[in-house]
Amino acid sequence: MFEAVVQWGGQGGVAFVRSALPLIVLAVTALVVGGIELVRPSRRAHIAVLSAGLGVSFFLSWQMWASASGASQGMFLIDRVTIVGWQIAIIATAFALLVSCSDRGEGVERSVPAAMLGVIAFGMALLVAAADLVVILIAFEIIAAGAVALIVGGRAGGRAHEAAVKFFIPSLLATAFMAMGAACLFGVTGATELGAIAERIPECMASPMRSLVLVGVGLVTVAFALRIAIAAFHAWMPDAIEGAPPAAAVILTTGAMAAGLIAFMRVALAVAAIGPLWRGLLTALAVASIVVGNLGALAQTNLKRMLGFAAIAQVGLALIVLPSVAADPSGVSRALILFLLVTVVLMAAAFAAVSAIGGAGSVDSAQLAGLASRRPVLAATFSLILLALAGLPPTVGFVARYDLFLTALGGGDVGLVLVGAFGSVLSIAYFLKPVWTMVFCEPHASMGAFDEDATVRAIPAPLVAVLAIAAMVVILFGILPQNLVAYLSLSAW
Amino acid sequence: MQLLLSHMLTAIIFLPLLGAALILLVPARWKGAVRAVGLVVALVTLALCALAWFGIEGSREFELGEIASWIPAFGIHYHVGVDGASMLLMLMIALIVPMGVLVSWNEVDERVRGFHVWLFVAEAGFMGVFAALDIFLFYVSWQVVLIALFFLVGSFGLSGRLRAAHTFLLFVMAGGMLLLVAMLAAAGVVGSFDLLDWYAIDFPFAVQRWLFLAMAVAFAIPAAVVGLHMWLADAVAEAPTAGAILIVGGLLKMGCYGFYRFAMPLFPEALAVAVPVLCILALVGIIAGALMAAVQPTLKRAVAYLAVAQTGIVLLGFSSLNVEASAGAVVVLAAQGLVSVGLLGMAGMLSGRGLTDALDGSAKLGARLPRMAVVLLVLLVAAAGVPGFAVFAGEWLVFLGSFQTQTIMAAIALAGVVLVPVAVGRIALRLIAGSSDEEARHRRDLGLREYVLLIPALAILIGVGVAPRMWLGPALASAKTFCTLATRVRMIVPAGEREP
Repeated sequence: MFEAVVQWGGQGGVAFVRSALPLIVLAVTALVVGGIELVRPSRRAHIAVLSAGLGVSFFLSWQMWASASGASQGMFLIDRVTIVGWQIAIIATAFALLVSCSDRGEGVERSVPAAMLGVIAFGMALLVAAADLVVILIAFEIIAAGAVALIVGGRAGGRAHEAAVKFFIPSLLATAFMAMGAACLFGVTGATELGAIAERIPECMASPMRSLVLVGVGLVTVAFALRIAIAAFHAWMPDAIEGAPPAAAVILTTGAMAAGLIAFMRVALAVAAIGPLWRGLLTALAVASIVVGNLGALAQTNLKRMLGFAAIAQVGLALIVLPSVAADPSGVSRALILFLLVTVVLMAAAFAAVSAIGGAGSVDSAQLAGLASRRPVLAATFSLILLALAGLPPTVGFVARYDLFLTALGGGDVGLVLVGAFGSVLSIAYFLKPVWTMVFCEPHASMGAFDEDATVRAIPAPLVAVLAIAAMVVILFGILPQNLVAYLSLSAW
Repeated sequence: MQLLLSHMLTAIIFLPLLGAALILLVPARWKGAVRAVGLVVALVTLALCALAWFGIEGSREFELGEIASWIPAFGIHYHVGVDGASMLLMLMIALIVPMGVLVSWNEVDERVRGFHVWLFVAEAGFMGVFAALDIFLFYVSWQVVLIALFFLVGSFGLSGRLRAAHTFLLFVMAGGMLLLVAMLAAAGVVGSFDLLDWYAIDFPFAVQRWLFLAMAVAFAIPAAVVGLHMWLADAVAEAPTAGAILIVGGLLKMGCYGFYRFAMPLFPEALAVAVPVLCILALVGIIAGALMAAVQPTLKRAVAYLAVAQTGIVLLGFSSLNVEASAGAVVVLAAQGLVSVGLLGMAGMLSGRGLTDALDGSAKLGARLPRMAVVLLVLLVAAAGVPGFAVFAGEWLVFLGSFQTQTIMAAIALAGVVLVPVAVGRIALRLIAGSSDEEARHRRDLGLREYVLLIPALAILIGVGVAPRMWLGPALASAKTFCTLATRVRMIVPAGEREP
């Protein structure tokens, strides 16, 4: 079965390089942007180079999608899921870049975001193309390094530093766990490549080495859990999101998470031969994330923290299809990339809306009171995005969730789907609460100063772009999802 | 014209949406223009529905069918079609929406545009629910209705609207998620989203049990089956009049329709097991609803509890699995919708005159507003199930049918139904009776707008009550199909004797 998914074998180097071009372009972009940063920091040059790099890379990925053949060079695997993963990473980076352009906080080193986003984009692209635990480890490191710099973002002291520390320590732990896990698996199977591990796991499970396999897989799983904020390794997420500048919040909850989940899906497939124990672990992680994320989000009044918890819940929701990945790889991969693509757009737009309302600082949900009468278009767009995040029809959020539930049911995970549905009800509660406040509540008198501010300030053009694109995606693909679904169906394994 | 006739249902579903878009184009300051556009859209929709009602043959098949590919990758189609029952309910919705527009004419004076937009989004959702033959379309329309009603209640309601809308949303969304899971699971078994494919399949009993349970709970919440009715009274009491009208006249009917179209005919074996439970729920609903209605402090709340009792009667009719009873239940749905809407409209008119709809004897309508008192009395009499009105025609059929299959339950229910006139009588006394005092007759009595609002409903109630035959035909044909499907289990040889 695995062979059908991963075509190992003798593709020529040239062909491989050609198929890896989008990744290479991103690497060069990251280098150039980093180089400019060292020589002569210039915000405009950064943004120009990064935009060009993202654009070229996206174009190349679009071009080669039709001819993608699952080219593999041992440590890398470039199939259509990889290509869609690249596209997701590029879209996430582009949104983060747009959000960062509007970040006008005090003491912001304006050139840093673009430079670091370039680095993170490369890390994410590497992660979705990784077919080897060592490559995954390296990609983790690149993303973490970029993200820490992005979170600090040249700001002096305060919340950003705290957020950076809270993000960095789990990242270090993730690296350590990943290294140990890879070592364990290498010890047992003699390989760190996912394909080779997959081949050898059945015989290892029958041998006395069984426990070492389990330990190795467990450590790798913990590393992923730390990296993409799966409960119970999620504690850093809301804190980091609350303190981080908007661009960092966007990239951590969208692209980094999506890339991590795609890589985790490859790992899940590779070690699926472990059997019920592995399914059980995935089920437990999914349930824990859904419960923790949704209950946590329910209790928040700070919008950014709420979105941080919501991101954990979304990871949990994405995980509900993974137990069936071995039985139905094409369905699972389609449902997952559809959900990730949609979530990336929606979460980025949600953070853009929060930035539009409250600037780079944090926004309390009480500040939204009466927004519908003060800024009807912004309030309507934000409401639309929140409804989509809650997975209500006729938005694209519903389409994504629908496919996810259907796939999980196809795999026989009725219990998981019920948990997911229960979580969705909770998510309706907390995603509709801001809508509620915007539409139904009158602004408090004590909010007067803030109100003045919000009414006067115009929304920066980049944020308008993000919101407009997201609103169009939500409605267009919500009502007529056919093209999107067909594209992703053809991209699935 | 030809195009319209061949896409009748699509026109009916999307016309309200088009109307909502039109209303958004009118400047918000022109409140009168917004209301006028709304009324025109509502009336045109009503005309289309009437055209469709007279256009269908009332056969046992779905008519006016349209099918188009929507999301081929998921096997989802835009598939609509109606039979007598769903067309009757669509006609009722089309009738109550203009009533909602008229009754809100003076009541809603702020954010008039938003109000009408949500009203028409809700109408489109209702039409989609009743016309859908594709499960995905059904579910999407279902959620559209819930969101629109949520905003109607929360944005335009009275002082307690926030809490009421919260409770409402919690209940109906929980039901909605359950419905989603059940529908996805069933679609997984059938491998299709087309309702006709679902009808053609016998689900395994083990699957039926769970799916029936899930769907029954999911539909019981919006239908306000007793035990899951707690959200109803607050939502009705705190909603704007038009919102209350759509909840009692539309949402409750939508839940019952879910039983009729999905839960019962799809899972006959599970239904056979569940019939006693459903009958007991129906009995408790009738008795408790009537008793609660008798002790409510306001007319709106009393109407909400009367609706709980009516849901009980409808549930009894469906659970009897008898053609007359099911057709009668459908008629009760439509007729009761009109009656409730009329009563809620009266409650709104009272508030509009600065009077309360409190049932404490202070209204003294007989002396103050005699014409209004007469109309109210007629509506209350109709609600009590007195012969000559449509409600009676439906209830009569329900009991006629249910006595044949559920004799004991029907007998108890009949005893319970006697409580309804008792409750209605108390409401009438408290609202109408009382001698005139110094305030007498200085308020406006019914005006032209209110007559326009009430007369058609009364005319239909009486018309159907006097000559039910011409209206019943399509409902009976639909009920025959329903009973054939829902009693499939009776025709199956018991499991032990099944041939290998």
